[in-house]
Amino acid sequence: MRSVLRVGIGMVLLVTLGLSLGCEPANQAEKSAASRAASGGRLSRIVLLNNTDSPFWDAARAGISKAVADLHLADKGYTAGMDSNDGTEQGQIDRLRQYGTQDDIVAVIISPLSATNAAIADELKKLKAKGVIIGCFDSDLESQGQSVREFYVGTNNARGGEVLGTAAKHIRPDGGEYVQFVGTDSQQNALERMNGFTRAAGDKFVQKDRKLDEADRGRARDNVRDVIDRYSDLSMLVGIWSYNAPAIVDVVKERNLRSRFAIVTFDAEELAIQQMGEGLIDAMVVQNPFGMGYESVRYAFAKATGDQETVKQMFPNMGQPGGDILDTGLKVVVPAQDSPLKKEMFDSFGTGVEFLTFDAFKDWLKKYNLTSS
Amino acid sequence: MSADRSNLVRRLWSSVEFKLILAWMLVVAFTTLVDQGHTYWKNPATSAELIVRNTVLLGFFALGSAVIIISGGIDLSSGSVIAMSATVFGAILMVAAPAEFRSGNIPTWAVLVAIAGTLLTGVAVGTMHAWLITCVGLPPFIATLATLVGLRSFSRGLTLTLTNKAQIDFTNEALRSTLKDVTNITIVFVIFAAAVWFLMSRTVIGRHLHAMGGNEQAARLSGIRTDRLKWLAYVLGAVSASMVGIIYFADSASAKPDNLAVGYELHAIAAAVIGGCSLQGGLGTIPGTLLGCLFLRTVIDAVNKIVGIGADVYQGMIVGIVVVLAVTFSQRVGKVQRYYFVNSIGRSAIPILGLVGGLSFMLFFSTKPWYAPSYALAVGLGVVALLTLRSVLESRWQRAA
Repeated sequence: MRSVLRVGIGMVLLVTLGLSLGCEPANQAEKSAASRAASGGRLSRIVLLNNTDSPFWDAARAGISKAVADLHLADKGYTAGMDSNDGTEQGQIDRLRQYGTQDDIVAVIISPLSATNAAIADELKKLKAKGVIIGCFDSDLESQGQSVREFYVGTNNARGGEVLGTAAKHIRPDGGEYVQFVGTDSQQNALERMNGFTRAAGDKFVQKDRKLDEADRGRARDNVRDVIDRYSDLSMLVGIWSYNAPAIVDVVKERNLRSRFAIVTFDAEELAIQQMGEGLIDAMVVQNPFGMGYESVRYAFAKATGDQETVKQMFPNMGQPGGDILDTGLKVVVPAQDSPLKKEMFDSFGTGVEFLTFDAFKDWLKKYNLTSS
Repeated sequence: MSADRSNLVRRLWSSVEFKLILAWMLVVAFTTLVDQGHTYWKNPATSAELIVRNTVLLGFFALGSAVIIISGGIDLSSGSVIAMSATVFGAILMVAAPAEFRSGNIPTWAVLVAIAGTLLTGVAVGTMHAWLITCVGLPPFIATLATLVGLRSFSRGLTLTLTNKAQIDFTNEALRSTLKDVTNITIVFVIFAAAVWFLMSRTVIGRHLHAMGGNEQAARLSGIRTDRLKWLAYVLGAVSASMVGIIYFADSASAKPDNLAVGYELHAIAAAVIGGCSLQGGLGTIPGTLLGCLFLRTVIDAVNKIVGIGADVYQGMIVGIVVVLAVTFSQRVGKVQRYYFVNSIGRSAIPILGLVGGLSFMLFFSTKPWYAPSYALAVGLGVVALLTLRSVLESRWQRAA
């Protein structure tokens, strides 16, 4: 009798646990009675899948939440949110497969961990065949796989690399030896940024290495220590992924070598922002993950609800080469007015590149209630 | 007649497999009801296919792990063996038919050579484990911990040497489809599982493995050649992981040894333990392990279905709780009474469980319009009150016994 009671208690616990989850966790969009009615009791989901969790995505989450609120998704029976991948290609494949079993998912927007992975493209094709809207954000598929996705929202990474290379060229006009630090070189955004940097930095610069850390922050720091020890003439350190900036600065600070190195980086993690405030980073090229989240949801929602006007407004040249790309822009952030970098140095990149001092950048963050970007 | 029926019920109730089937049905029924998309009801075929695929992939190396656990050992290296096998399979294909590998038209003979080479690599790894344990005298935990880190590193070096990149890409569409096809892998798995079940349940070797796991010294003194049995168990474990490595290479279209299958060995051990294997050795069944895999994969799938967006955040926590509950309630066999809260350790766990209850409530509901911190406090205190009551009752049961 007691054993029956015990099993009963166990099952009640299991059911209670499940019920608590069935009531949605904290970060999901709220439901309204109207939206339940509109969607027959459940919300259709727009899912964004990142590559690996990092503070970079916090701003994208903020953009998604803003889009959900601004566009009143719930009123039309929709919700949107971001799933975090575990940093592996198999992780993304498993998640895409999971989405394939769920009818309430209307759009999947992915930051593919590998631009060339055939299995990721396969799963996206299957979702597309089911009528799911497929998009990429932050990082794109390689050109052959781009037919699978409908749109790309994010940075023009090649141009981003060139902007960072241009900054490097003006910080060290005489050139020098440099190393680029990044998580993996199989992701399209990493490749394009690194190649763009090399192109724009010019012949006076010599690339000594490209150090990969597989998104392991400990290894990212070890990589910096390693190259500092190995290349005695190294004069510039280039951070390609968001966490590379704090990794570089931490090691340079620990070795007390700030005067030897120019440091230029991508993105603005909270710690990197603080470090730039301390004058430890010479230039940051900051993407707009907030905009990536916001615009991805905006497009998917418009497409799902048949709002052709918004679709056309966002992608007026859809169907033409490059017409399926929405550039969310870049910001060049420098520590202060006395920086060797000036606005006019980046004029050739057009209106998509904004030049800001550190204080102006902080004001921008504050405006959108962000702590990183 | 009535006594017979009562005996049958008692026998069923004392069986881990029966309780796991019940628990699995409960999870499926519950998910069908609570999942707002009612996916199991609306898309039973695709849902079942996904669960079967994941169960089969886990099942291969969980069976290998179960044999090792039953024989009294442990294998922490399954994930690394998977990563290495995927790398070796890709490397052999590249070396055996380089031009065809690049063009995506690999000949059958090269595939067969690569499969044989990969499985032989599994045999080599298993033999190495057996040697470290039986001849060098390392505890199984240490021997397989060494290969857990060592094999992954070796695979990274191999990949870098062969391709000058961090991964080997696999673009042969036809071969990939064949190797990862859910029907194909399920057929191979059923044959493999049947063979392992036959070995463990219907042969002298299987009985000896159980005996060795129960008491190695007694088994040795009774004339059982324990070293050979260990070799068999570790080879089976490594070869089963190698088979999964081949499938993962096809499934993920790449072999990226630095992060492929990281931590998978813990899934295999969890599935075996849920299925009734004792980490002390000597106890456990192959059907139980299979049901453990099915239960574990279904719970993970259910969390994805029920939570939806953000499932990854809560998955580990829920799976951890469910594993503890499943093992606690499914493995209560016989009339041994266990008291949870009668001694000082048990009583000190009561406020901790109350804190966990209150914090979990806060995590799940803090953004709800009706939420107030006092509710979380009430839940925490409620848990403490219930468990204190249980503690008092247990004290009485203990005195009465």
